[in-house]
Amino acid sequence: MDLIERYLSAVKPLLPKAQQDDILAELSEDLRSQIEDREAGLGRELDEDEVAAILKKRGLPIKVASAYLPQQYLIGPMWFPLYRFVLKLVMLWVQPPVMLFIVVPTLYFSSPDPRSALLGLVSGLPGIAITTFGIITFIFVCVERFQFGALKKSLDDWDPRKLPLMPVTAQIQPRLRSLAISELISGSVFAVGWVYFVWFHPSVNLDALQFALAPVWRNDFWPILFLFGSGILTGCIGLFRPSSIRLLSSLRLAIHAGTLILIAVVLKAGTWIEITSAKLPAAQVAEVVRGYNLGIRIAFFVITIIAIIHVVQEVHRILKAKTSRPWTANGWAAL
Amino acid sequence: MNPDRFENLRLELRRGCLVLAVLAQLRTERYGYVLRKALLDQGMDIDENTLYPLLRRLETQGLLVSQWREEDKRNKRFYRLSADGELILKQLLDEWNAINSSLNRVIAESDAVVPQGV
Repeated sequence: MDLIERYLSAVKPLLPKAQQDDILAELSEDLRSQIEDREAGLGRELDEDEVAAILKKRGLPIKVASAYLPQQYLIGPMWFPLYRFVLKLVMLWVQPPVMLFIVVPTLYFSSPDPRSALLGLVSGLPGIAITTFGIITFIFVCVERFQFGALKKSLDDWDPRKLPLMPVTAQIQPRLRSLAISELISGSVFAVGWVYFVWFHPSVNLDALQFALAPVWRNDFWPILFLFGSGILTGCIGLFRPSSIRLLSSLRLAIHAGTLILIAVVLKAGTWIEITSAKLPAAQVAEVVRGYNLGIRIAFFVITIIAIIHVVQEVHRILKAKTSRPWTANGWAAL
Repeated sequence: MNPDRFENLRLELRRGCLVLAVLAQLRTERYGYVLRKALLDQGMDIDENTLYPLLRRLETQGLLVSQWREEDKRNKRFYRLSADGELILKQLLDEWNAINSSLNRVIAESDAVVPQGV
């Protein structure tokens, strides 16, 4: 019987405190009944091995105790799919692009020692990942624990008609994907180039001429950087959520509208490149300045035309997506 | 065939039936060990680690009542169906019979269709 006492002692601390004695008394009684039954059948007392076999069949103390504990989890089945989705979204699709396209260029261009700054960032990446994981998990644990009423209600209060559209057809998909890739690449290249040239190298020496960007560029540095950054965002969405037609078109529409507004602001400056020379006569330099600025004005004009065409295109796409049903032939065509 | 897959489905299928079997057996007062043996004799094998926590849950839900009493010089916990338990058991048995009839019809219908298709 020593084995049974040892078994019960091992189970006891794992049980809920309030029921410990009651459960142990019942468990003890059940084991003793089993042993008595076996002994009656065999006509002799059970030896230690036979008692051990009965206990082994009953299971590890932790297994026995766990059956009496309430089912507990940090994040339950209701929230777990959303938790996994958010974790994947943030750690795979938000953090890496932010690191690559914003944090790394900013560190590289703004730090006096870019190499050690980048090494520091790389060594800190596991810490950032663990912290992100911890924060998201903590938020969902809180949601699970306190079952926020509003959140629960919002899960029930949904409209199937607001589900994302089906993936676009095979014929259209490659075109949209290449558009997204080009947005992603051009947005990244322009953003990095913009920071590099406007912020860190605003002037260039070419033979006898010194080219410098006019102050207007520095004044509008952030809005223009934001515009390039938005291109990265639409590129990412277009690549990974190509079915979000309306969202993409709305974002692109906002970007093109922003481009038009910025062009209007920048155009007011009148001069966008300043050129000086210690060797050439002032009249000749002024002629060169006029030529370059005329070229830039023409470029602005072309960009304005392209932006207007894009605005019309995106408005057309939004209206078509709004009125068409994606599961009908017309709907597919609209996408 | 994957035996784990069958075992999981079997356990899933049995889960609800066990509650019904336990409630039905406890129309007569019994303690855990005897209850388990009675179920086993009827072909319903139930693991102790499932039975005892289940008895507590059913008692917490008010479907069973229990009492510690001495028998054969040992204290044993006797369970029996409460008044609420009687009512719920009746409802569950009606539900069980309805499910059983429906299932039989579904199976009979599919059995009738399959040979024609083959």
